[in-house]
Amino acid sequence: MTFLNATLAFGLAAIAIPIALHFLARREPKKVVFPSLRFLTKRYESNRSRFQIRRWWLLALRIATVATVALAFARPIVHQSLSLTWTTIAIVAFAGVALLFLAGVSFSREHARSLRYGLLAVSLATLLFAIVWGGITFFSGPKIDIASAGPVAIAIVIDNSPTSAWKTIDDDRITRLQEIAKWIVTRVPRSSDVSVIDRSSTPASFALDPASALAQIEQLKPLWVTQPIASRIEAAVRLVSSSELNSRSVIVLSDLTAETWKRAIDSAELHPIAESQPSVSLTLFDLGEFQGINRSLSAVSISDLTPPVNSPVSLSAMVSVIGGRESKTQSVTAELEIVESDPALPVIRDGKIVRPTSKSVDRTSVQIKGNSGAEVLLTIPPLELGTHMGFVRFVGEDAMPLDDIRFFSIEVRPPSPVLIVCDDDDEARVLAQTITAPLSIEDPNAEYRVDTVKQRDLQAVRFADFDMVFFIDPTTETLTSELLSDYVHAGGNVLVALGPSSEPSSDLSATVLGSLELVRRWRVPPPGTFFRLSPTTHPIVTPLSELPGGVPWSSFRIAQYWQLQPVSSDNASTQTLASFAGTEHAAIVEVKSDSVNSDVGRVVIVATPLPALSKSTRDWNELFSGNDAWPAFLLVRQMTDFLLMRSGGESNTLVGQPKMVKVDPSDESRDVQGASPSPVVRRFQWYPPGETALSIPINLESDETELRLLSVDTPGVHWIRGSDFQQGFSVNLADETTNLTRIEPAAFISAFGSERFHFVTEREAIDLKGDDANQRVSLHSPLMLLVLLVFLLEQILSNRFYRSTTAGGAV
Amino acid sequence: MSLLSPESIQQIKRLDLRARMVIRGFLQGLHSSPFHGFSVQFSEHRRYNQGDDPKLIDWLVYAKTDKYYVKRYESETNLTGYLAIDLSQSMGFTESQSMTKFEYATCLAASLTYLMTMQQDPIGLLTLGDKVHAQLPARSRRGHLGDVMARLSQMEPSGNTNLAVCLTQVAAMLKHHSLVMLFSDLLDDPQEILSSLARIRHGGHDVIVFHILDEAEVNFPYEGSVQFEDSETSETITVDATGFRADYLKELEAFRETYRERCAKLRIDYVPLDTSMPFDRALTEYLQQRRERF
Repeated sequence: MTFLNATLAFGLAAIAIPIALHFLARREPKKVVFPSLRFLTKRYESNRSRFQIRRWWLLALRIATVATVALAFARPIVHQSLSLTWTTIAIVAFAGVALLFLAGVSFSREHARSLRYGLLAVSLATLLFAIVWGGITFFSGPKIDIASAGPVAIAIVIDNSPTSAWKTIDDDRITRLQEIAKWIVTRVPRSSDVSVIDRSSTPASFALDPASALAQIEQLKPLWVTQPIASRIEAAVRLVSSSELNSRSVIVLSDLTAETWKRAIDSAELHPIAESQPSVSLTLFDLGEFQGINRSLSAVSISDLTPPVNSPVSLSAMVSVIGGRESKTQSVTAELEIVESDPALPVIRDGKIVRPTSKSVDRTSVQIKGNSGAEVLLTIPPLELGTHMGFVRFVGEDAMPLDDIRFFSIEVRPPSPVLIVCDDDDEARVLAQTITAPLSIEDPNAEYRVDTVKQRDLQAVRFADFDMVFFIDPTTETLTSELLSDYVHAGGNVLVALGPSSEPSSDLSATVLGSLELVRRWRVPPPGTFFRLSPTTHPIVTPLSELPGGVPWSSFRIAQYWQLQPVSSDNASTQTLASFAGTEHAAIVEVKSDSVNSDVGRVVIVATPLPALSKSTRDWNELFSGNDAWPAFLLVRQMTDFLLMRSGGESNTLVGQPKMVKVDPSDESRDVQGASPSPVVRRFQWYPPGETALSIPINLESDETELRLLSVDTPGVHWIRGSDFQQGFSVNLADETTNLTRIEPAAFISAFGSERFHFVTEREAIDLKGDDANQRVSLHSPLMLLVLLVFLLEQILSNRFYRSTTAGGAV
Repeated sequence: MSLLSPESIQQIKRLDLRARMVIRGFLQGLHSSPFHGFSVQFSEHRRYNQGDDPKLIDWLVYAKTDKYYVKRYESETNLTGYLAIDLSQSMGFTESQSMTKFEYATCLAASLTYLMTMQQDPIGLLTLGDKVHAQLPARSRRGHLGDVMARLSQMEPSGNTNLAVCLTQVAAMLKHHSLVMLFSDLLDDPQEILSSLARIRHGGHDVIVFHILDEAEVNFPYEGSVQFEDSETSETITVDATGFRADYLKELEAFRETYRERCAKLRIDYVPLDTSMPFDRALTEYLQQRRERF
């Protein structure tokens, strides 16, 4: 127990007044000559004891009146955890007073001696017990810091994640967040330490004054890239604990989406935060359920990100609706737009960024019933060479605009020249057709231009004319030729399918096989082995392992293969992409160059021949000879795409991720004056999307070929422009960032696991006083009630209100 | 204010005037005389005149003489009245400082004297102190009234009284059939007093007890802590008057009730009075009782 106005507790000394009046300044009785004394003497004894008891009670009540008034003015407060204890003490004390009253009555009525003294003893014991207990509690209970009525250290954590962009007629989330935050700032006492912390990576610090905190709140916007909520709360807790003020409070304003909170709750990060600083009170304000209809568009899936010239590409995306009525069917229209190529754009004209315009190329509608989903299919028209940007968006608006639009970029490249080195014409033709499908080998629009050559003619071939060379069953001699090695070092890509022509060899370090050696040729007894893909995220393997239902490799048996083994234990130079089932032997290996030069080409080795259709290779495997040989078909295409880097997607990225943009070294950009030995700086402008976005200048050393954008935090089409350079890339929000699924409030109570955690949904329920003030319970009101009660009793007992009604009426 | 209230009568200093005032006022207020046919004896016949009450016509004379004659009556003189006044110290008590119990008693006694003298009854005066003092013998002559008044106004309450002994003496003193009118606050042992009264009654005398108490004694208007002192014994007692009132009034009522019951048994008229009661009420109360008796 503590007193807010402790000095007024000295008013307790005033109880000396009634005591002094009682004993010292007692009024002399009025002297009256009275003949009928005989009527008084008879009942004198009983009356005198009653009179004495009454006088003692009056004294006690007068002392109690003064004492309770003094205590009430001193405004006592008790710690919340002790309120039950104090209530119990009060009940015991009241029981004692009631027993004392009964004892008084029994004395005045002259009941049995045992009853009178028994009651008196019990009542005194009860009162003594209450006093001792109260004293112990008073001195041993937790102390309350009464200074917390003053300024507080408060940190407002505002969850301006992408879902805060939710906006309906009744519920504009970001505005509501700002209003609540402003309300809090304007209500904390002056000279409080206020901090506004959003989900950005801005370091947490206290605002200079309330006005700057308000200005900070005004500038809040939904962020596409957010820091984990737990780290922001932790920063807030650390910040307020560093304050010298004693009352510390952290208020989190959030819409409780699973995307924001699930990780923090699952990894139990919140509990240690709450426990680390016991003096900080935590309040979580819930913005409530999302009420309204929202259509969302998933990330688009494009059948080919590097299509050939003049070839239409199909595009699909999932459309889902939430918040709609179950019975109602609604039509959702999606539109596909392609940004028109203009090498002169974007440019800053009259202080404004002029970006390339877009034109609608396709449009489709789907009917969606209730809260379900549907797939929309759109077609990208044939495009010219180059990188093309586009986006799919819904026609019309809804509550959540961020998930209504998805961006993409596709790259139309010229056909890559591929050389197939194969002694068997049928095999060469099958492979060439596999690579160029669905177009024919000779089709000029095909992605690859395939040439075939036999091994004996290899010397006449100029490798530099080809982006990739595909060796089918090469001899060891071919593999170890210097020509091939030079080709790889010059940037050429090589795919090797080993077969019967090879021989075991151990020293291949100078060849394309690098650190691999051909140990021995294995013959596997029927039914043979099969490919087992390694669990890696390699671009060759990933699309195959992600296929729904998996790939039935076990249907395509392999009877013979070469055992490949790294020479050294250093596995870093090779990466096994697949192995043969039942063995540890590698089946598909990417050989990585030791050279630091990034221009070295890629090499992939397959330990069994492809397509194994010739007389000599037929008994090795049935990858192409089996029924419906689509897995091998896909594998060859994946390997080709990987080696020629035609898988595409480099121009598509997600917000918050770093982005590399390759820049061709330009001779013109070099300083022709040549006087300065320092390299010349090339200047680029980065144009992020958005009406109000500013272009960002980027300088690059002349010998660098990569622009590194550390974090791209705006979805849309970005452009990089320099002198004679223009490249765009598209940035999307991850699908899950706009997921509106919410976490149940009950989960937070267990996650924070603290008594000092408050969950509120009303603005007025927010605790602005910090932790200490929240733990105190004021006894002012009950004491005032007690004052009234004691005063009334005193008045009744001293008979101030009513005169005896018998006066004057008796005969 | 009633003309017969103790306050208004108090303003008249001479006791004879007071008594006359009381009685005249009292008689004026009565519709019919309660004395009609009371202690009177036939004296002569007179011719009936117009205006006489026809009830008074003597029909035997009319039968004999065929003339109307009216009977004339003369008051009886064989009822001797004695005013026995308690002279104890306690009779001098007054709380309101307007009229002590003794003054009230003398005023009432004077009024009755006047009344009886009008009826030519002899009346005597006894004072009761430590013993009986026969102040005046019973006479019915007209000058006697003045003597009684003079003696009454000279008396003062003082000292202790042994009422029971005094009353026993009175019983022994009286020879003829007499009416004893006792004016007292009866603050003594009730059993002894009542036995003394019974003795008087057994002597064939009529007794009227005027039990006079002060207004404060009846209402107990005290508040808070009060130290009471007995006027006769000087005994003191300090009590909480507020808490005591109910008990006191209960005791007083029990005291009066004792007298009321025992007096009724002894056919003694018991008239409880207090100094705030108007005299006419006191007289009426008394005379009502007398009429029922005779």
